[in-house]
Amino acid sequence: MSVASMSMWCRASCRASSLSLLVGGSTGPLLGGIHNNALVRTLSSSSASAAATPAAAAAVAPEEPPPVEVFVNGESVQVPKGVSVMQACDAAGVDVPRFCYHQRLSIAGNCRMCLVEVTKSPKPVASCAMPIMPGMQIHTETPLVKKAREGVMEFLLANHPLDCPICDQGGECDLQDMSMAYGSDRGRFVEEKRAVEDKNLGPLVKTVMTRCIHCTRCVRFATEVAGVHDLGVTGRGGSAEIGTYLEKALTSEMSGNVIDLCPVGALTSKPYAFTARSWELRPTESVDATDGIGASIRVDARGHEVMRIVPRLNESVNEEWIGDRGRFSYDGLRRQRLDAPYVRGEKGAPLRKATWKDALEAAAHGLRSTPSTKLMAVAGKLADAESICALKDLMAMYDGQNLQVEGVTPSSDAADVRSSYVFNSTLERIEEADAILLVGTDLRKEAPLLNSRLRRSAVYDCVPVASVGPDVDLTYPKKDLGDSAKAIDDLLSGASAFRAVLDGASKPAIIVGAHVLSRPDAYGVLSKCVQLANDVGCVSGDWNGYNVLHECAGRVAALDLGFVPGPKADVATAPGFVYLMNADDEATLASIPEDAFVVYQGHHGDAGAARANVVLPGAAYTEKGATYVNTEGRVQRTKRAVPPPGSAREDWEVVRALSEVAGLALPYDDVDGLRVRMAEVSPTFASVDSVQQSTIWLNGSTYAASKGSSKASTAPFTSSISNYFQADVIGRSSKTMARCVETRGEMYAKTHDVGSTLGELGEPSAHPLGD
Amino acid sequence: MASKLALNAAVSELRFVLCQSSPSSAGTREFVSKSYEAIKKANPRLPVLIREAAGAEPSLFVRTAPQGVEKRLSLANLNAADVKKALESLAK
Amino acid sequence: MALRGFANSAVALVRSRCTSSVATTAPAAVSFRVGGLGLRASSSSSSASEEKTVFGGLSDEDRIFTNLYGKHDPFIKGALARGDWYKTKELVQMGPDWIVEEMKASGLRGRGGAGFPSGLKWSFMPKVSDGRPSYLVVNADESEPGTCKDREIMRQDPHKLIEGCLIAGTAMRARAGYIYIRGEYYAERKALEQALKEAYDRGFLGKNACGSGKDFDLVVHYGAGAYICGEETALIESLEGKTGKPRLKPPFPAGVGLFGCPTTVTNVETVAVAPTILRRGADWFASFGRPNNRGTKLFCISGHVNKPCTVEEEMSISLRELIEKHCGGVRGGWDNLLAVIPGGSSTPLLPKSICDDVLMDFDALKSSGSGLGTAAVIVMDKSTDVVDAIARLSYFYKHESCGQCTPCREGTGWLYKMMQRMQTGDARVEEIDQLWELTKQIEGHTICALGDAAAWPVQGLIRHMRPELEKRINAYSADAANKAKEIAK
Repeated sequence: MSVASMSMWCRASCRASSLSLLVGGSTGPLLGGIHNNALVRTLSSSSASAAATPAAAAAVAPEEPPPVEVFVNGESVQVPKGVSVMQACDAAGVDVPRFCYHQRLSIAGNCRMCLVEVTKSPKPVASCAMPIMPGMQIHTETPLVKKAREGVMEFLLANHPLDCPICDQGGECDLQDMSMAYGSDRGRFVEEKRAVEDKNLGPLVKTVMTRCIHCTRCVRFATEVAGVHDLGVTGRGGSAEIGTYLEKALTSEMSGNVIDLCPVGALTSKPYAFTARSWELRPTESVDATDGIGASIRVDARGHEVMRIVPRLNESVNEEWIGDRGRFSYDGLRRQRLDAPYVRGEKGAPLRKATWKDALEAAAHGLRSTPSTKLMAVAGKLADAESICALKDLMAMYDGQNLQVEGVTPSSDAADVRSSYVFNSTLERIEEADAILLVGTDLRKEAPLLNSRLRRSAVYDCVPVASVGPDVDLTYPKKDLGDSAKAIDDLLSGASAFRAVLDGASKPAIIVGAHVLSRPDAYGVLSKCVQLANDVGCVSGDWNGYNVLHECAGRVAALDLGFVPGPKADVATAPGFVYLMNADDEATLASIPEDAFVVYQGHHGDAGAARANVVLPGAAYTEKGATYVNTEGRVQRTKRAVPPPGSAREDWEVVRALSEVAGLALPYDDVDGLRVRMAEVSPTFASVDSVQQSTIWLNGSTYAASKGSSKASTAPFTSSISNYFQADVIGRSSKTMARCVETRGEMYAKTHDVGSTLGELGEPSAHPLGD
Repeated sequence: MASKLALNAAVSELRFVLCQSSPSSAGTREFVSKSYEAIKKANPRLPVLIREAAGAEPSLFVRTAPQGVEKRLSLANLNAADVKKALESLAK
Repeated sequence: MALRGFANSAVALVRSRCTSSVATTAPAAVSFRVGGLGLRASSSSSSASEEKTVFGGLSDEDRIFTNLYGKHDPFIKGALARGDWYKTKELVQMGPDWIVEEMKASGLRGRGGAGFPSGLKWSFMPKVSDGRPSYLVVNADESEPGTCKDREIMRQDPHKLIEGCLIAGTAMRARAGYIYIRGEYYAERKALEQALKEAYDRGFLGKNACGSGKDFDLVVHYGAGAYICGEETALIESLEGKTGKPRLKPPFPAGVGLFGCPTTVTNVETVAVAPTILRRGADWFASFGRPNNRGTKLFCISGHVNKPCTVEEEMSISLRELIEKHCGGVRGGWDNLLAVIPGGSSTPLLPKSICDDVLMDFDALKSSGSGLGTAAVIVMDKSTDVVDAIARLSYFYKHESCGQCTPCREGTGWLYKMMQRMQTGDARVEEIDQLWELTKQIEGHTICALGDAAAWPVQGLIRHMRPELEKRINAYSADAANKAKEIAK
């Protein structure tokens, strides 16, 4: 079905939280995949994603129509009205093989593998496309169905090359699995097989198009979910080919997901090519720490090495997707690693490897010998909650009150009211918004997964979206309100036409990007945004549409733990001792004076380590079981998949060891004790995988103290990320990401005709410690 | 009155922990909602953290310099006035 | 041409179906008679005395398309003289329900190949709009090999089609109609466009069409050379500007069609006969043909006949009469006939033994194992290499497959490759059964009917011409064996 015709239908239908399917027997369209999230939630057992309190409880439950009874292989099953025959079979626990059907994509119905028999129909029906009727009798085990499946399997294998031994999909290939289950035992095709030229889709997706079975999942994903119309089918019949037609790299930040979608080995991961087989890998369920969404991932490792990262299903966060950075930057985990402590003797001397004892002593000496007013600590973007908590307690023991979070203009107000710095609507419920204002954010680079959710709203539910910030193509229509602070003033005063749209919406949402937090006038702007949120009714009932989007994994945890300057801290004073916890940003380093004693704790040798006097090697997110809080305030925990290299240790252990060497040991000896302490600091850490709704809003009095003192700035509103691929140390160390910058930097320049607001996508950063 | 909420200069952090909906946190909610602004005005550079979690026992934590020692007081089932008294007792 | 030559036909070809005597064909013909159905029909009919038993010999007064050979002016002057646009306003004002009832009563079945009762099909359109407009789409993408009837209508008598669109559009409560004409029909499109302009100029279309109070617009859109765009949902996709790939059904076009609005796609001939039916009465139309196969039909006969032509004749006319009366008979005489493809290349062929007494209508041909399709009769005499002929048809389907669904995309190519080998006999006898099985694997498992259309000709070949296939295979392997012996010497 075309997107255009579907959007027309969707205007008339209910929103995403209910089943938006129009029925009417033979005249009702089945809107299938696009709104299937609701069906998946209905049919599957619910995940613990809702807020814990009744007051804050959940989406308004829509009025569900009564379920309908159908019979699958003689057994009765109750299903919601308007679902397809395949969904009814899934509900009954009967497996129906399929290639082209995917619950998050529109229905194609072209593989014909899902044919089942329905009484009163002479031909088998494509179960993915046929809507159920009450009392329908569905049979999946009859000889007709068996013959149909074998027939389709035979046709698929007829032109399919005999590539299994060299194909990366081997072991996790739908075609292999289904031919074992439903195919026949021998091939009869003795003619010449067709061959298709491979396409160059860029440095991430490898193509062997001869293997393609034309299920069009990749085409539908690129068009509907990613929003880039890069892939299509050219040619007709047996000469049909899927590709970009003109050689062009895939331009979406979610392009890697087609690798998961492709049921055969036509689209595979280029960096992963020929490196491992699926049965060799040890899977570990973990959480992505490369951006603020905290997508659920599975880290596949072999021995000590992470071989690949794939997404896990999590309806509330990332559905089934992850962005390219999270998926492909893992090769940076093996390069530029800090595997031993380093100490720089005097100023100007190079860093020398040292033992832990020496390094900790040097760091402790620096800590003890600096007056408390000159102590400073920075929680970086990749810092985990345990180490931040330990660091804060350590600093408190020496009365170091100058605590800063990387990327946030320091202020003691920043962490007071939780609802002022988290994504309050939650990622799942943002789709309920009926008008959205973006301030200072480029969603495509900062949170592609959120962007695809908004795309659904904007395209299928026609939600109006406006942006104060960089004029970028978000893959859906949006109104550009300029990139100056004046735009916000216009919205407040009503001079802007979009104000009326926000006023008229029953669930308006404002999404403030992390860029705003880093501006010198951050608190002035934030107060205005909060004011606007109040004026248009963003906060009412159980809906809080004021959202701050963080682009990194470490920030919300730091704010939750109160990592902000205390009353005695004067951020203007030049610090004498700086503790950088995974902090490598240029801006952070620029603010450190030359004579300061810097202790850098992190996992990659990047700018932070280059500046440091003492380097303490920590573990990356795949090497420790650590807590990260995503932008919604959802506390999630990674699991250790591989050990950290060399003598690197888990970060909280380093801080604990330092505290002991420095004289005053922290009161916890193991991670459970530390987690108890974390929960004491912020009880939100007590419940993992759920979002604690912050009901206290305080109407904008949050920044009352800081807003007056924040410096005015005329800088345009832009994004906190200029280079999507190399936004953190892991990306900067990754060869794959460097290749992406080379190839797709060019594509960005073409598709985003924006000039300087994008910033220089630039060269892969030079590594200060040498290669 | 604002001056009444001026706290001891050694206090480096104030932290209110409460539950979003339980009745025992009601007083704490009320106090925090009404008095946050006043506390901040009286103590402009003091971080006053407010943290909510389902089922959390309402408590007040006060961290004082120079060693960062924390003191905790339970605010369970207290009304707003009592919460204020508790604050004053810990932090003045 | 055949319009005037009644003399021969009256004498030679009238056959009675009630009598058991069979005229001049071989006794073996009796056992293959379709007549079984015919006998049942006539004997079970309550008004047997009123039911006709002899079909054919349509008189000019009963013909609908009176300018089929272009002897008169195709455009507005000639059309008005032929009776088009007469009292159209009154017909429109009779209202959609009356029109649909009349069409139902006339027994008209879709002339595009599927033969679905037209009145019933038109009644599926919504009676009350839910905010969306309804559309009529006329399928003038006549790409079925062998078919050339719609082109005659469009270039020789376009006003019949245009008036028909207005009537059909009224019946469907459509706001506008789109005529999707095949890109290759350049002259036909020009004629249609001229006629369209004439109709607009005289106020027959557009706002207040014919002064009836109904607004109706008509647009001509042309295709770009894809057979698959003759499939109704692929046609709709092509009209919307996308590649012509069929949609899944359900939802059906009457629910979600062109631009998401209720749409009915009809064939040119079906629409073009509608005004005449309404004017002359449904009973008149129903007086032709057997029950459930009413009316007149345009037959396009091509191939090994002496005078290939397009002719309008009564439904249920016997194939033999059709060929002998209007086309001067099979080349070399009736006994030189090998096989006939009765309804365009998608229908299975019928061997001479069936052709001897089969009737040309939907039901009769279906029970003979074929179908009326578009009534494009392709006659093959004994000089035909029938395997080559069917292989060429297989190539056509392979070329025209859109590639969406697996059985058609892979299967049509496979069928063609096997048919190529069957042509030379480079196969094993078991592979004939394999070929049959493959066609069964395609048939019924595809999104649209192209899969079925690709399968049927091969099935017809195997069902009726299997000895020929086996003969070639044996000859080839014997030949290969001999060659091997020679080399070995």
